[in-house]
Amino acid sequence: MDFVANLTLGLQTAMTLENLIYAGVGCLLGTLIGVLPGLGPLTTISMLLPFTFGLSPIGALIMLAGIYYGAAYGGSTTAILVNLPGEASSVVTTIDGHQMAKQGRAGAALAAAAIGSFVAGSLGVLVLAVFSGPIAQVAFSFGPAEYFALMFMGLIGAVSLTSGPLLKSLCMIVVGLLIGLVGMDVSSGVVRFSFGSIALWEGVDFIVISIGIFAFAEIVSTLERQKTGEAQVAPIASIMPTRQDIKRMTPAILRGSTLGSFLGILPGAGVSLASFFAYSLEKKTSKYRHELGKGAIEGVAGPESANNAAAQTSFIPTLTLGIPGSATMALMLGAMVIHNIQPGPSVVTRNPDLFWGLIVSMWIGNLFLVILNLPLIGMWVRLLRIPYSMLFPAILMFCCIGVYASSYSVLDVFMVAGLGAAGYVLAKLDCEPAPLLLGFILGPMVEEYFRRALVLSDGDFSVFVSRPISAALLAVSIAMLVFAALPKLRKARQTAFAED
Amino acid sequence: MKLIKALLATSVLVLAGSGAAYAQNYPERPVTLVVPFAPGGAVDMVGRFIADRLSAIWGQTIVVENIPGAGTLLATGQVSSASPDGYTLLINSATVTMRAAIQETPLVDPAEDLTHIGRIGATPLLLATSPSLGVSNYDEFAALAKERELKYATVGVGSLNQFASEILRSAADLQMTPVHYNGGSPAMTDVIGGHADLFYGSITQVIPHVREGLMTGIVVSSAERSDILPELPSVGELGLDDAVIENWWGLFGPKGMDEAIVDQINADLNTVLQTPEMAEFLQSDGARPLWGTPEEFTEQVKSEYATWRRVANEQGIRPE
Repeated sequence: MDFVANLTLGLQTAMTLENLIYAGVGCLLGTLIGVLPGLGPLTTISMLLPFTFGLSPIGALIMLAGIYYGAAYGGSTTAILVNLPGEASSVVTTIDGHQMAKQGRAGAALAAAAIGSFVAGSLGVLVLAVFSGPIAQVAFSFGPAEYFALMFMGLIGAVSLTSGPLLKSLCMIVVGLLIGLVGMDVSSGVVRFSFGSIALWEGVDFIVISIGIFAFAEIVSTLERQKTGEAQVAPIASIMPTRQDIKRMTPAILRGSTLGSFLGILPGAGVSLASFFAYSLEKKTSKYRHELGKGAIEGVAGPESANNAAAQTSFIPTLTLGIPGSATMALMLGAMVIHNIQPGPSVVTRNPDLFWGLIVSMWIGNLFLVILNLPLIGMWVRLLRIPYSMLFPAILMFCCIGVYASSYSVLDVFMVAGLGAAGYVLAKLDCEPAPLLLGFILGPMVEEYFRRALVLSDGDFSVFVSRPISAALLAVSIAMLVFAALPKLRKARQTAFAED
Repeated sequence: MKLIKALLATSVLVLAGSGAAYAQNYPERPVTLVVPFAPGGAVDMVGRFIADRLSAIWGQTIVVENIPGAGTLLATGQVSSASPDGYTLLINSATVTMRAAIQETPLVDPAEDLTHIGRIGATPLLLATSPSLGVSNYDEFAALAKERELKYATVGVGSLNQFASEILRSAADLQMTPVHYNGGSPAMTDVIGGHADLFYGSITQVIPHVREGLMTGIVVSSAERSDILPELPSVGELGLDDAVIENWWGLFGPKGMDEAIVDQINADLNTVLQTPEMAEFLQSDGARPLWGTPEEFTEQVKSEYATWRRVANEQGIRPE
C-alpha cells in the first residue's frame, strides 16, 4: 500500500521530539490567542505567523498546524461560552453550543467539539492519502500555461469565498492584485510601485497584509461592537461528556466527518459550507432532531466534525490547485508559500517529506488539542474575563513586534497601521477581505506564469487553449464566473451562508 | 557628555597616529556581519562559518544580520552608508557586481562605494539541460543551439545565470534567450519538465538533479575541470576563454575604512581560509577557498564590474 508508506514518511517527519514540542507550543499559543473574545482563527493565525518564520520549513508548518487547531478550538470555545463566533463556520456551533452552555453543559459541548474534530481529522488524513496519488501523476505535465490557467481559476474561485455581492468580491481581488504587484517584477526586472523606497523592492510582505487587514481591522471593529468591556461567560461544570452524550454524538460525528471530507475536496467554498450542510444534515437525519436549537449535542458534534474534516481534505485543492476553501486556508496557503511550498500538483512529489509531514502534523496538532487543551479549559475560561481595555492594546503591541521581527523593517510596521485603518474601512463597507488576500497571493503568480508561458511559446497566445489541461481549466474558470453572476445561483449561495 | 566623548574619540585618533597602532585594539566591541540573503542559503552558511572562526580569533562576538532584498542591493546600500569603523562588515557574492551593472546609475557602485577587504572562495557553474532536449554532451548541445533558439532559465534579470548564459552564447555563437523565474528551484522544475531547455547555475544547486538523471550535465563554467565533476569538460578547455565565469564570495566594508583595520581583517580572514576545515566546508559546496590581498580583490571587483557593464550594454540586459 503506497499510502501506508506515505503516512509512515509523514509520521517519521512529524514525530521527532523537536517537532512534537512545536506542535504543542503552537497548540497552546493558538488557543491562548484564539480564546480571546473577538479574535477568530483568522486573526489568531495571522498574529502568530511571525513566530514560525525563524524555524525550519517542517518545524514551522508543524507549529502552524498546532496554531491552526488551537485557534479553531479557541474559536469554538468563545462560540460556545460567549456566543461569539470567530468565523463563519462556527456560527452554527453557537446555536446549540451556547444553549448547552446556558444549561450548564458547556463542558460536554467543548468535549464534543474537540473529540469530533479529532475523529474527523483522522478520517480526513485517510482521504488525503488516497487522493494524493492520482494528483501527483499529473504533476509533471504542468507547465507555465497550465499553471497560469490553474492560478486564474483560483482567482475566480476567490469569489466563492464570500457571501457578498459579486462586484465587491471582484473589486477586492483587484485591490489585492495591485498590492501584490508592488516590487520587482520577475520577468522584466522592473521595480513597480516602490515610490523610490528600496525596502519595497521585494514587495509587500504577506504578514503585513494579514495582520493589517485581518488582525488590526478585526480588533478595532470588535472594540466598536462590544461597548460593555467584558464578555459574559457561561459557567462550566464538568468537562467529561456523559455516557449518554457519547452515545448521541458518535453518529453525528461520523456523519459530519464523511460529509466534510467530501465537501473539503471541492475547490472553493467547501470548508465554509461544511458546517452549515452538516447542521442541515443533522436536522434531517438525527434521532434527536426535535432538540436541535435547544442545546442538542449533535448540533455541536456534527458541524464541528464536518468543519474539521473539510479543513483537512481541503489541503488537496489548497496545495495542489492553489484554491483555498476558506479565508483561514487562504492564510495557511500564504504561510506555506513563505516556507517555499509552491502550490501546484507537483507539491506532493517535489517535497514529499514536507507534504506528508504537514498532513500528519495536522493530525498530531489535533491530538495535542484533545490531550492538552481539554484539561486546561479552566485556564482558558479565565482569559475570557480579561477586560478589553487591557487586552487589546497588548495584542496590538505584540502584533507590531511580530511584524518588525519578521522583516526588521520599520516601514512594515507603518504599513500594518495603514492597512489596519484600510481594513476597518473595508469592514465598514461590507467588503470581505478574503478575496483581497487571495488576489495578493495568486495575482503575481498569474502574471508570472502568463508571461513565462508566452516567452516559451515565442509570443503565441494559442498556447493557453491548445494545451488540453490549460484549456479545460480556463473553461472551468469561465463557467465559475458565469455561475457566480447568475442571479438565481447567487441567491442560493447567500442562503447557504445565511442559513441557521 | 557628547562633547567629552567626541573629544576623547578625537584624542584617541590623534594619539593613535599611525593606523597600525589603532588597529591593535580592533575589535573592541561586537562586530556586525551583514548577510544580504535570508538565512539558510549558501552565502548565509559561508558567512556564518567565517563569522564563527573570526570571532574565535578576535575574542569578540560577531553578530550575523540577514538583510535580504533587492538582489543584495538593500544590504549593500545599508553597509555602504554605515560608519567605516570596521564594526559593520558585509559578505556578498559576484551577484553584487551584476545587479549593479544592469542599472543605468547603480544604487551602490560595488567598485567605488565599498571597501574590498578580501576574497573568501569561488565556485564554478554547471550547465545542465532538460532530458527532453535529447543531447548528451557539449558538441550535441552546441549543434542544437546553433540550429534553433534555446530557452535558458534564470533566477532574474541581471542574475548570475543570465550573465553566464549570455557570455557563453556570444563566445560559442549559440542562439539562446532567457526565461526568468523566482528562484533556482522553480527554474529547474521547468527544465526537468521540459518546459524550458537549460539551466546554468551554481554547481551545488544543479548537481543533485544531474546525479538523479533528471537533468543532463553538459559543461562547467571554470577554466579547469571541477574536482567534484571530473567527467564534464570546462569551458576553458573547450577554448571558450571569454565564457569562463565563477561565482565568488568576498568580505566588504563601508567605503573609507582604515587601511590598518582592513589589513588586519584580511590577514585574519586568510588565516581562516587556509585551515583544512575551511577547505572541507567549501568543498561540500563544490567551492574552493580563494585568498589574496585587499588590492587583488579591489582589482577583481573593478574589472568584473566593468565587464558586466559592457556585457549588459551589448546584450541589452536591463530592467525594461
